Amino acid sequence: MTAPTLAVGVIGGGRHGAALADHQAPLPDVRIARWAASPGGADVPFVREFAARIQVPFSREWEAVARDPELRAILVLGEAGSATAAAEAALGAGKAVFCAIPAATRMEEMNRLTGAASGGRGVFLAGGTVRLSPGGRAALALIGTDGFGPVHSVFASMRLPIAGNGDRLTSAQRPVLDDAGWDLLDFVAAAVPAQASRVHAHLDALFGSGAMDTAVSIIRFENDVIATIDVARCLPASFGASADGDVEVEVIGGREAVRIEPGATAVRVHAAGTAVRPWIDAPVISMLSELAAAATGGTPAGDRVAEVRRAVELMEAIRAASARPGART
Amino acid sequence: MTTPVKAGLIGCGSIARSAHLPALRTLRDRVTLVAAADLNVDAARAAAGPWGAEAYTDGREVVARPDVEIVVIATPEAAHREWTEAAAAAGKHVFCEKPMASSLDDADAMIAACRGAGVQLMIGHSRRFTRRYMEIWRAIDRGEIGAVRLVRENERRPGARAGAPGYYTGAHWTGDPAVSVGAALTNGIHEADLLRWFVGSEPVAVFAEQKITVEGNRGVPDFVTWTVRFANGALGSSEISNCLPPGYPAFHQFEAYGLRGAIRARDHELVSLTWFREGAAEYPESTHILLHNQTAYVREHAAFLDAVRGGRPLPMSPEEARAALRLALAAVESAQAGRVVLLADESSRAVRA
Repeated sequence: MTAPTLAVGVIGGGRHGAALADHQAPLPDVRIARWAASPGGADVPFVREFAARIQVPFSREWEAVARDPELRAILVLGEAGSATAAAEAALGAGKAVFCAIPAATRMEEMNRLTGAASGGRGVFLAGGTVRLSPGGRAALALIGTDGFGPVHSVFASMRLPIAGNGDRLTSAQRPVLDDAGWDLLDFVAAAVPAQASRVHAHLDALFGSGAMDTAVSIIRFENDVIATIDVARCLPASFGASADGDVEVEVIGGREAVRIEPGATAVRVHAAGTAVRPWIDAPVISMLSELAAAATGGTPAGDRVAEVRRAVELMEAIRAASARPGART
Repeated sequence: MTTPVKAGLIGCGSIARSAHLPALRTLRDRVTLVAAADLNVDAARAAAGPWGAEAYTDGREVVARPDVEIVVIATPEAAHREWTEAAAAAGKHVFCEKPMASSLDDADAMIAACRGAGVQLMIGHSRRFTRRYMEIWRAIDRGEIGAVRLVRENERRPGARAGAPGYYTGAHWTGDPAVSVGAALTNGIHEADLLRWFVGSEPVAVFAEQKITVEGNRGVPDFVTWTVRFANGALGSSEISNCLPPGYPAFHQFEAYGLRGAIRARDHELVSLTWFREGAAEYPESTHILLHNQTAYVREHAAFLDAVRGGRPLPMSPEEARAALRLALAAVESAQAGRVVLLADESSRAVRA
């Protein structure tokens, strides 16, 4: 007798959705049952295509999917800025929810999410692609060991194409902090379990799109760790980076140090042509796996609500710091 | 054939041994060492011996020699002003290791002394003479990436190894709080100079954090990270770490993003051999390549000799070195005060003559 498959609903598309749509059956005991566009509907064309690719029903009604009684788990992907409403609705309906994009970018959103997570029967999970990449996981495991020594510093950088992510994302006009910045802050929040004591930041529009395409910040934490976080949509088309970003992260400890470049883990497939499976492929499968475990009674790793709250606090602090004299031209 | 320029060396420590003396050796048809001084007489003798030069324990004896035409100063930066003023007063041209000084007052005095004496003063910002940075500057100067908007250079160096007097330990002058300001000057002066050079604008705001990470450090910040806002709106940033464990690749990692393109250069990608051992990967040559970029030192000394003997302009004025120092010192001030340091426009300010 085989275990029943878990029916999962997906809300949103984006780069994560593109990676997910490459898999007809990403996990043996998980079935993608419905796929809805993000609240706001900006990603309708892409999500429709993704759903068709894996032959699941597409819906414009994200709330209906979030509350669908057939679904026990909801994976929230898609456009940054749309996640809070989707996650809130699904948590309220008692679902296990994994949020791959910023579950909240403001404390007001975070408080709504916290209320939904604590008031219902749902389980809330979240995590960005850097943290969930094989390198990110290994790094976080390593720095938790005695042999690593005290963490001195964290450096995290992400470079994205100036033009945004082609036909998959609608986020080129969003502040890069609220989008890709989340992936790095999520990793930093997991790597440094402390509050920020001093933050300096530049949020700027440097590359001609008019959007806040650059976010460079230095954070000193109460435990004396210093993090430098540098994210920008600054790559010219000729650079050849994937739309998933060119990422590097270093964590330097008292006795050991670790450097990860998630992009280096991309799978290059040589067939009739040459294709590169996006480096976020593995993190997206990890999200689905964690979601399935939580939905079937497994214990979520760590207090994700608290970690997301800390990442949102860092975002707020960065915004505040960027308004101080000297931060802007 | 012209007679080689006669040089005196003050300070015979690690940078003299690893960089300046080998560079002078390469240029021996154009320059010859006739005198070397160091408080450590053995170091002075080791420097002087191969040249048949005189060894001294007091730099004043080098400066006083009538045959010395140029003085190469390779002491810690706290002593740069003293020896520059002494050399200039004696009519000697001065080549001085970076950073120019440990204060702007000292830098101004050095410029004034050399200008007043009519002698050349060049500060050894060796990275400007490194092939890759020369190529990067030419590409930017040709407009190949458009206006530069975002620049980053990170630097990683391994910590002390057993039996070696590593940077920022008590066994090395960089770790002596009496003479060393820390990573913002010792390493960061390179980044300060490169950011200015590539952005092509003056800094207007600096924020920095620094800390101590090297085991055995006696109180000199060995880690620094900073962001710089330039007058043209561009952003620059650097992070320097000196405590990496053995086996971690040493590198200078540079990236510049412009409105029409990008340039990236990573030293650790030039290291072809990665040695995977149980539990670790090692990059056997990375430190060697990074710290012994001999051709850069040869180029900077050759350029100085061209100015002294050939009447060519210096490739980098002392005012440029002072500007880099100003940026690095602002970073130190920011880190100490925990706030942004705003830099006033100095474009109309004449350096004391």
